[in-house]
Amino acid sequence: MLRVTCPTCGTRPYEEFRYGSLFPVTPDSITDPDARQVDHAWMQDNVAGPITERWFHEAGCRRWFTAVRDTRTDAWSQPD
Amino acid sequence: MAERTLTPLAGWRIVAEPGAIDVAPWPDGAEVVRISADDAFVIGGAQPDLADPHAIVTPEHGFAGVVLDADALSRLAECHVEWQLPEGRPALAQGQIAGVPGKLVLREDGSALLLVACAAAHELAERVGLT
Ligand SMILES: [Zn+2]
Repeated sequence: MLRVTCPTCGTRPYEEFRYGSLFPVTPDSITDPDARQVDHAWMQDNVAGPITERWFHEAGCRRWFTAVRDTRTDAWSQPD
Repeated sequence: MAERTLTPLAGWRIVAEPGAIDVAPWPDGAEVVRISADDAFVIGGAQPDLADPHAIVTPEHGFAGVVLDADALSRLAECHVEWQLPEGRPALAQGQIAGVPGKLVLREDGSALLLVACAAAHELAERVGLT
């Protein structure tokens, strides 16, 4: 079972959380504003490795937080 | 736990700068539940006065609670809590209890105050065997 670590409450089963989204990172190499928006909304990288995500602890402190999850292992770490 | 009942609680809900909550002079007899850095539920007492001019302080009637002794707490944790309770006391534990979002205010004497939203109190009571 995937377990998520809330910075306020600690580690809990993922059912307690609402998944927000991948934290959008648009590369600096895309400079055109329209192209940046397209990248932001539609271009998913499907990374095998650490990704930054937004989660909401619905059954606990009811706070949004940002966390880094390694998609290969589901290991969590703090964002930089 | 058959003799215990979840009872609606009256208090104050505070959303303010974390630093202002840290040093707030809480009213006598109040119990402070720190939900997150910027959010607290103060049970009982007069309206708290915080140093943060932008603090939101509003009456809170949305929680029901029941005090559990140490034995009742350990039975509840064993049967209905899937996650690890904090070791230290006092502490606040928040998460699903029997599948219902709840909070456990873990007190130094080993007892705990079980808190749940009033809207879910009946459901939680049924699931964990409170009257
Ligand atoms: Zn939380």
